[in-house]
Amino acid sequence: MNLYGYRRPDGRIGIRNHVLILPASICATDTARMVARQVEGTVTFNNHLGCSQVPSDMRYTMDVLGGFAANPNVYGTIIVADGCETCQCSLVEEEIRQRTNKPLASFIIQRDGGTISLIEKATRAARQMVVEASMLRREEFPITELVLGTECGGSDPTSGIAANPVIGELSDLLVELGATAILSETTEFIGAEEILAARAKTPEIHDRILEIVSRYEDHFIRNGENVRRGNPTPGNIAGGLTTLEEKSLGCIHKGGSTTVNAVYDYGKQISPKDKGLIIMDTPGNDASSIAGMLAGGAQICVFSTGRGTPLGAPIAPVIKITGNHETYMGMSDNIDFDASAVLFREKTVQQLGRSLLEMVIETVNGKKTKAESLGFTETAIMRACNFV
Amino acid sequence: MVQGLIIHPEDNVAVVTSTVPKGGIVDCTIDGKSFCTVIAREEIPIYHKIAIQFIPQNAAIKKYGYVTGVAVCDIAQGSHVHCHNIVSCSLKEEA
Repeated sequence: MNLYGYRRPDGRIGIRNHVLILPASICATDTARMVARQVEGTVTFNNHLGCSQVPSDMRYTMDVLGGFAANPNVYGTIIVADGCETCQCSLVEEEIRQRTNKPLASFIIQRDGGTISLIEKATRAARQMVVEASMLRREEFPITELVLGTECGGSDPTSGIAANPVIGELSDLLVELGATAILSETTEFIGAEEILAARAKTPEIHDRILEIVSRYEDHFIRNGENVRRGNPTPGNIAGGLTTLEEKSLGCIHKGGSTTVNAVYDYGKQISPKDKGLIIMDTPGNDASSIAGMLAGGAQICVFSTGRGTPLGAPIAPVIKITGNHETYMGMSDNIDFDASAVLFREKTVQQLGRSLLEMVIETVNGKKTKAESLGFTETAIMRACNFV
Repeated sequence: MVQGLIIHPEDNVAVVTSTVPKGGIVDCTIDGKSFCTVIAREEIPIYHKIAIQFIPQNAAIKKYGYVTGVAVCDIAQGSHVHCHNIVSCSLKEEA
């Protein structure tokens, strides 16, 4: 069960070796994509934010931009900015520098002669960075360096009964081995928050768990809404989930059974001191929840989906697992792991948890997930409010 | 016979592992052991919930051993339990 990864100058260990072309804002997103298309070995994503934001909303975007660049799967980053956006290039650089000392270069469309000129300059810089990255060799690293993100989306009743308990078993196994596992999706703690809070390591963490849940609920109430009017989604309901409480009780199985050691705000960089099970306050929305965990430093995610989704991420492998055999058969090009044997008592949760751990280790060591091999990179970022 | 999974002994619903036609017999199990047999009063789609006992209006729906909603009307044993007859506890308070 040896793990091999890329040691970064900041001491963290990556399991991929990407050069990130980082769009500071919506106005730089297409240009960043044009650069990334030129250079094999780079990754990028659509950033529809980065401008017209008030500070609380901008904070989430900056944490994801800085956190993505600092994620250990990234060798180095090339920022592409327009020039006048809220998330100013210099501020994004500062966010990255606070988190890591990895290679960094920046280009600004308004300063660098428009998009064609920028693409030329940024392509040369990206090519050079990819060559430098290619000289690194994987080296063995202890599993205690691994941070796993867990996610569920497009859930149906099989998620709560089969796939999420298998992820929970994986989480327990990793925690036992000294690694870190993140339970996310605060919306889907609603109705199950007391169960999680009872597993908190300290009274402070207990109160924090309840606080992030009530804060999330209050956010909707301030807008004259009830979160339950949007969650469960139509697909969840068609699949057989009726209420948010039912969905939540299935969701929290991903966190296994161990003590909750810490609670992190969205997208905050996870300290190497926090091992074991931790919670991150993220939306139930899959792409934005995964982005928060990757910004926190997760190198890999495991994602359960009863209904089926192609979703991946630009900077990390996302292993997809379903408890719904029909979904697996219908979307076997997109879903990596079939956990439905649990439903039919052909395999136990423990057996499948062990198999999933083996798949995680193979993926850590370089095997591509289905989402990676097909190039899925869907990314979203949590919002505090509307654009100005 | 179709299988119905009862997740916790206190639950009053089971999850069917294949679609049950009206009048179909559901063998409800806990941890693989037969617990009760219920006749479906209507079609229950795959992975949806069937009431394993009579659930009176305003009573809690229990799954995983916890409250997952409230009955908005009397629910007969063998009924499909879903959005038409149960609601989230907080939405119930609002109504």
